[in-house]
Amino acid sequence: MNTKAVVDRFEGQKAVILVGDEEEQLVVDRKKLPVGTKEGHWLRVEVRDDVLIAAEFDEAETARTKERIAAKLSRLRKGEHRSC
Amino acid sequence: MFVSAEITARVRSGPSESAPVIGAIPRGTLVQVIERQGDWCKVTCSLLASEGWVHGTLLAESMPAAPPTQMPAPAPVIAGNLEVHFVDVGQGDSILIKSPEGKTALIDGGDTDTGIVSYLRSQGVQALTLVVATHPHADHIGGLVEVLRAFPVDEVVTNGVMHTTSTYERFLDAIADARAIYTEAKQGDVLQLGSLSFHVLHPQDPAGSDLNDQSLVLRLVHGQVAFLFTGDVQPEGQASILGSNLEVGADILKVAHHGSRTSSQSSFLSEVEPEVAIYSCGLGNSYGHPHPETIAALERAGAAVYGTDVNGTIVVTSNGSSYRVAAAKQSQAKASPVVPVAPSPVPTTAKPTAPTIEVLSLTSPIDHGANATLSIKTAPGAACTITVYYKSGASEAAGLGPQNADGSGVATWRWKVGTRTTPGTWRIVVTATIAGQRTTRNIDFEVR
Repeated sequence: MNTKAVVDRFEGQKAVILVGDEEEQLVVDRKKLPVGTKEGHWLRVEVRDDVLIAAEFDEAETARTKERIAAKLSRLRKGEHRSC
Repeated sequence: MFVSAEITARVRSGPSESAPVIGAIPRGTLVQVIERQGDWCKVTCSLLASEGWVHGTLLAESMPAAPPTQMPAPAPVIAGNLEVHFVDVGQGDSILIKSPEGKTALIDGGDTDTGIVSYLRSQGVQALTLVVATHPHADHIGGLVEVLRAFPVDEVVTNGVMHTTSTYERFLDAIADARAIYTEAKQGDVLQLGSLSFHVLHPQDPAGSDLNDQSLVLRLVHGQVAFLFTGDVQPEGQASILGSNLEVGADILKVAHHGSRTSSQSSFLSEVEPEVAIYSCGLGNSYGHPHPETIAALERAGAAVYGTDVNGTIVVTSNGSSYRVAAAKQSQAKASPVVPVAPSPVPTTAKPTAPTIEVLSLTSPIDHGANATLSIKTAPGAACTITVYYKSGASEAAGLGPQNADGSGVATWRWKVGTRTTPGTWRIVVTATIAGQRTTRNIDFEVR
C-alpha cells in the first residue's frame, strides 16, 4: 500500500476517491473503505488496474494536510494573498 | 389576442400540457394566433424566438385590466437580456451567467479537465466578475482551478467550508495566485453582478459533516423571472431554507445534486413551483443520476425537465418579463419502460428480436493514463451497460455507469485508463436490453 488517496465524497453507497498525485477518480463501494471513513480522510491504498485492492487510514497525512490547508484558507480570509 | 393569465402564460412546443415549456409571456402581451387545435392556440409574438402553443383560457380578445392580485413592484430591469448557461461538463455542475450589461459570473466549474475553459472561450468570455463555488467537492471546484488560471477573476465566493482533498488545496492555491478577492457568504447575504443581485438562501451557519448539505443556494431575480441555484443541497438543507421564510419561488430551478433521489423534496418543489427544472450530470455516470423518482416528482410539480446528460448545454435567456429555453440537443421521447414479456402459452410467430450492438468507435490501442472512449450503436432507447475487465478485475474508473441509448441508438462512455493499469489486451463487455431482450457483446482493447 504505497499510494496515497483521499476521499472526495460519498454518493449513496459509493465513495469517490482521488488516487495518487494524478488525482485519478475511482468510484468504489463504501464497504471497501475502512469502517468510519469520512469525506476528506487520507488513505494508503493499493490500486491495480483501476481496482481498489486494499485501503487503510493515513492519520498522519490527514492531520498534516488539514493543518496546511487551514493555514492557506486563513491567509485567504485575511486577504494576505492580495497584499504585496 | 392578449395574454390574460394572472402573471404569465406558459408557452409550450405542442398543443398539450405535457409538451415541454419553451417560454413564458407576461399578462397583457399582444400575441398573434396563427393556428388553433382544440383548446390550444399557436401564437407568435416579439418576445418569443419561435412560435409556440398557449392554452386558450389564458388569452383574451381585449387588453386585460390591471392584475387581479396585488403584484409586488417589479425590480428595475436594465435593458438587454440575461443569459444563464447550464453547461454540459459531464458529471458535475457549471453555470455561466451573463448579465444584461455584459458582466459574467460562474457558479461551479465542473470536475477537473471537463472543458469549462474552452466553453467560456467559445462564449467570448475574457474575464469573470464573480466565481461561486457552492461547496468543495471535486465535481464542482475541479474546473474552477483551470478557470482561475485561464481568466482574470475579480472575486471568488465560497460557503467557507473546508475540505482536505488535493483538488481543494489546488483551488485555494489558484485563488491566491489569481489575487482574487476571497469572500464567504451565508444566508441573508446579497452578491452583486452589475444590476443583478443573487440572494443567498443557504447555508445559515455552515456546520455539520455533510458537505453537500452546506451548499450555497442562490436566488437570482431578473425583473419577473427568477432562478434558483441549489448546488447539491440535501433534504435537511431544503427544510432549513423553507423554515427561513425567505422567498424561494423560481421559474427556473437548477435541480439539486444532479437529480439524485434525495435532490427534490416535494415540500421544497411545492414552494419553488418551477416551470422549468434543469439538472446537470454526465451520461453513463456511476451514481444513477438522475433518479427516475426525482424526474417524476419534478414533472408532477408541473416543471418541464431538462438535463445536460440528454440535452447538452441548456441556455435560458430572460428579458426580465419572459424567458426562453434553448437546448443544444432535443431530448428523445422517453424510451418506453422495459416490460418483461410474459411467457405465452401458445407460441407466437413474431418473437421479439434481441438488439444488435455495433461498435462505432473505440480508442485502441491506448496509453495507460489516457482517456478512452467507446461508442456503440444499438436499438434506440435500449438500456446499456459496460464493464471493463483488467487483470485485477472490473475497472472502478468513473464514467462506466449504465445509460440508455439515444434516439439514434447511440451510447457513448468516456473513462480514464489509470496510470496503474497493466499493459495488455483487455476485455470490454457491453450489454443492450430492450423489451426484455438482451444482447451481450465482447470487445477487446489494448492498453500500452
